[in-house]
Amino acid sequence: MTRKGNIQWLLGELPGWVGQGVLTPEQAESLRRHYRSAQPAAGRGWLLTLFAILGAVLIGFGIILLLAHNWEQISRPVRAGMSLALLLFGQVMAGRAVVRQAAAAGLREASSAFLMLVAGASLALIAQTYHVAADMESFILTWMLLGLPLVYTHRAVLPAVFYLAGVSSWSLMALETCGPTGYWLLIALLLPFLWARIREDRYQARAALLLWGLAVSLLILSGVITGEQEDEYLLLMFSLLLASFYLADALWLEGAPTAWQRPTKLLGAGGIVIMAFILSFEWEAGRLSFQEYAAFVGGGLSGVLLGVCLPLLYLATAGRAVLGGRGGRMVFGVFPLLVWIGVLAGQGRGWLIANGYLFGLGLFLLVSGARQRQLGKTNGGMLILGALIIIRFFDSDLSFVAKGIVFILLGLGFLGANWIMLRRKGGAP
Amino acid sequence: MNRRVLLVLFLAACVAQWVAATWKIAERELILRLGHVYKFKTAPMDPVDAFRGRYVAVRVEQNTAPFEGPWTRKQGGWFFAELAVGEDGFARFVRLHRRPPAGAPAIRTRIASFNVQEQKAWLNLPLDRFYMSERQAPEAERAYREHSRQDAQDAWLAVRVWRGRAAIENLYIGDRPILDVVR
Repeated sequence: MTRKGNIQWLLGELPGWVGQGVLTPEQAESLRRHYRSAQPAAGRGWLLTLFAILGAVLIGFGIILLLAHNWEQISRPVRAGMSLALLLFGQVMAGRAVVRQAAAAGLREASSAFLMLVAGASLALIAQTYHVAADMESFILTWMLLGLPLVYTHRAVLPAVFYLAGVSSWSLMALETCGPTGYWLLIALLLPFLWARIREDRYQARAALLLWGLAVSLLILSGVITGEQEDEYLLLMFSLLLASFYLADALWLEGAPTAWQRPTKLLGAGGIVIMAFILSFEWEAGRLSFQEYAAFVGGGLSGVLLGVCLPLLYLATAGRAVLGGRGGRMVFGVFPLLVWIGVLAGQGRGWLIANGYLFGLGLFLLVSGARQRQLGKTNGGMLILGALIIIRFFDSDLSFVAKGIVFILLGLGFLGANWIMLRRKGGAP
Repeated sequence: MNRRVLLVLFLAACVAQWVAATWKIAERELILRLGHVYKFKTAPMDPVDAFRGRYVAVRVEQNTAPFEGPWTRKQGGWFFAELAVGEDGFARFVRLHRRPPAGAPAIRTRIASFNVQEQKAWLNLPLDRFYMSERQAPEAERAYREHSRQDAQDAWLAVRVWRGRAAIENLYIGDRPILDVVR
């Protein structure tokens, strides 16, 4: 639980403790005053950090745009000098945060983000001055590698997010010429920092921001890398990745106070629902043969990571979720198995399983949300069921008779369930 | 990490940033000061780069070279395109080498595509953009189009070549530098 969450819990407990005689009313009031005064200070600290970051980023982008104007009046040597002076200015600003041992998070984040941006602006100004050829790949890769040390020297998340965005863009551009190995190696350079932030406090906003960046980057790049193979690989790897995201959240991020601090849960669950909807249409995918799979795994680092490590991660997270008493999480976690059985085993009935899965998932969320009085869950279930009904109603691939019979049977099922529940309660129908 | 280690790491990062910036400046200055000038016929147009601003995109007309192969896109790699000057005074590429050819001028380049039947490679030359100000770049494009309408497609690049590296010195329309044309 975060510090803010602890304080809220403590303030909520105080009346009970006073009632039980654990604390005197004076002591309770003293604690209340102490912690209430601490809360706005923390809020102000965050605001200061955010303003410092926003200021530095805006100035950095402004400098890039000003230089991009390409001032024709300025001579070549002066432009070269300007680009170096700009770099030096950014380095001096960022250097202050390293020299001052107890520099505030705002100063560290803002100054390192500023230096990262002016380093890019400086390289861009040199390229502009000397009419250097396009080669966006080398420009971005050089920029990101030069900025990466700032992530560690300043313990700053913003340069790390810039780095993630940069190396992901580079990997997308250079995938054809350099292959996918570079992406994994570049991401690996950031892992010690991510690990340190998670160990420090996994629920802090900075760790959440970093996780968001990493999760989005992994989703996009894994999709593109496996998309180079046949459709079957894309389906299997993507479903494994999404389910692993979702299950990992159950194991490590369940105590997060807000939903946005759980990026793997949101992306995992959202991705699984979207993917199930896509598969709920008529879908043709070939059978995944063992020989082809072995060739994919033996094809390089991506094959090993996506073909071996990812299934192992899935099995580990699923096993821990089930053994740790979080079996309910397998409602989403079971999805890769259904993809495997339904689509990749070559039975040709994958769309039927996807429809059944979505129906079951929607119903489960609806019922468990109503039981636990969780409005979000109930609405999620309603949304899935509603979307499924509308999509199937207008689906031109299915015959009217088949659709009509299924709809009537399901409707009767719902009415029957309603009747049974009312009778159990002893109320009038 | 303690403060001293962080400081050393930060200083190393600063030095790396300086080396990257000054190396690029020094390399380009050396080419522009010591290189030999070659003329390349081009066809300009006017796009935008979010980081580096507006530029006139140029395409060297003679961007092919005889090549026996083999070459695949995955293999990639750098090549040296040997230069020769034609009777019209413009440069063209006469051969591709894996290593810098001794005693012959060449530009380091990558191959964009290769035709086995024609034994010819299309080059991905490092001569594809001439940066101008926001005001000048659209005017340069307009001036070029008006000039082309008179059936005189004579835009060309002056390129300095030194030890396999090339740097654009200027872009001309007819016999006038483009900055004079749009001034």
